Amino acid sequence: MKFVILIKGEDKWAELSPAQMQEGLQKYQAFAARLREEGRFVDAEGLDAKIVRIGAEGVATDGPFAEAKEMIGGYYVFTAADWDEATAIAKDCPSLEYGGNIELRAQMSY
Amino acid sequence: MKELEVSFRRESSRILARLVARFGIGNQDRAEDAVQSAFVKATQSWPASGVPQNPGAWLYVVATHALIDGLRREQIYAPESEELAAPTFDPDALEDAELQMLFMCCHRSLDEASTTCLILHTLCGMSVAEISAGLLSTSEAISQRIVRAKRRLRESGASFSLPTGDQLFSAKDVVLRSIYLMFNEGHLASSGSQLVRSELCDEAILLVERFRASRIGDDPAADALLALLHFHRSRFPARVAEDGSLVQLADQDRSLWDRERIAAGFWYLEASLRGEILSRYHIEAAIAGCHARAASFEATDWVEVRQYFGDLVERFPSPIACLNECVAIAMAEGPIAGLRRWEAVVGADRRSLVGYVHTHTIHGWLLERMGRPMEARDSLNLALASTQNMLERQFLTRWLDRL
Repeated sequence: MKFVILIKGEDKWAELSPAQMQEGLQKYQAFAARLREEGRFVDAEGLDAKIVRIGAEGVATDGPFAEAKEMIGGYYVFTAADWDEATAIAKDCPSLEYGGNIELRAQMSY
Repeated sequence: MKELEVSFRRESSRILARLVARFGIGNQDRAEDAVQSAFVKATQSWPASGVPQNPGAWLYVVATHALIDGLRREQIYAPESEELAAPTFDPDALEDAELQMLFMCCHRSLDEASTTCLILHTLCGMSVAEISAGLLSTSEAISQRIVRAKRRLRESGASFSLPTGDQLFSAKDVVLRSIYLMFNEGHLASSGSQLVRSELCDEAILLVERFRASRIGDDPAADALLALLHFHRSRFPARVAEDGSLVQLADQDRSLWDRERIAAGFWYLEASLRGEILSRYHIEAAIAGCHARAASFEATDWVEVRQYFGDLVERFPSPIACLNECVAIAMAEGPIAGLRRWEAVVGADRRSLVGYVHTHTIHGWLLERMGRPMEARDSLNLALASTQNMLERQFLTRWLDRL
């Protein structure tokens, strides 16, 4: 089953020193490396702050001033046997340490 | 996992310096934000896409784009030239920019404390929280100090360029002095409970090493300063006892001294013996070298130490150097000679010395050596009244109990 971790509103980064950020990077690298080693890794990316909203009325560019709390800053796509397993993995995502909150979503089952 | 071959701390100072060199000190705050955002982007994208081949260059390019984006957003500036749109990564230019940043932090319009904060923030990549912990201050006070210092630099028209000729010579002097003071700040706090904040001292040593390795760093005074700082640093493991209390040079367990640092100290001291100028760091390093070489406090070559102090007092007179000379005189010639000198020194400059803690500790030490414990007690009580450092107070209290 495919799952996606959506990372929102990591707002602690601005207060960190470069050395602390490097520590953070290493935690994320360890998280991604683990997903790879366990053969779960599908995709991951950080997302730029610019948002283009496209509606019936046309195109609106938002940001990079979108509400930081609600902004999706990055995602991880991975496989897990079920929700329990996926939840346990998502809890290890370093984002939580940096003020982020995580939304875990599963691929729709048909 | 493989160790990441990049140091964010190191890159932050290099990239920030380069951005300020290119976009001007008026844009320093924007440049800091841009560097920060480049690091955030790295933490987001490197785990997924892998660490780029040249992480430093990647960070530099991303930071430059972030800064340009920021300027465009504020409609301040739209770079025209190809070079700005596609930044190139040139290690030599980075090194020069860092030197410029160092000289700017040591600008004469800034006081010592501001210079120290600015150096730690921009060149050592320390956060405001880390600096405030190191300098025993509040985060608000430190960030205000940094903001004010930057404003002062802009208003005083400090230029972001390396001085040349005679100006370079005197500017180098100020830079070395600023780093020396930064080390001292870490070496002995004037207040608070943490005696040796070795991180500040280590940053100071790294700065001198970086300066020395630069294209304008061929300077005997820099070698001498490095020798001095290594000698001081070598004693840190013995300066604080297990219970956290201060241990005087005389009572330190010399087997705890860091032999590798002592060797480095002698190496730099040797290297500094060239050229025509004898800096105060030369003399102070020579004194520190005498201590490093000696098997014990008593076995120190006090005649030599006394001579060096004589040189120091003659060439670079300061009340503190005069006071320390009293100890050397007492050890070389006996406590009576030392006390006589102390009385002359304090008599000549009572106003600035009376509130200084070591005026009284040295007096007490001399009197104790002369077998006059009652008078020594009076001096130590005066010392106690002139320091807020908890460890120093504890040290003095124990000494009083012993008398």
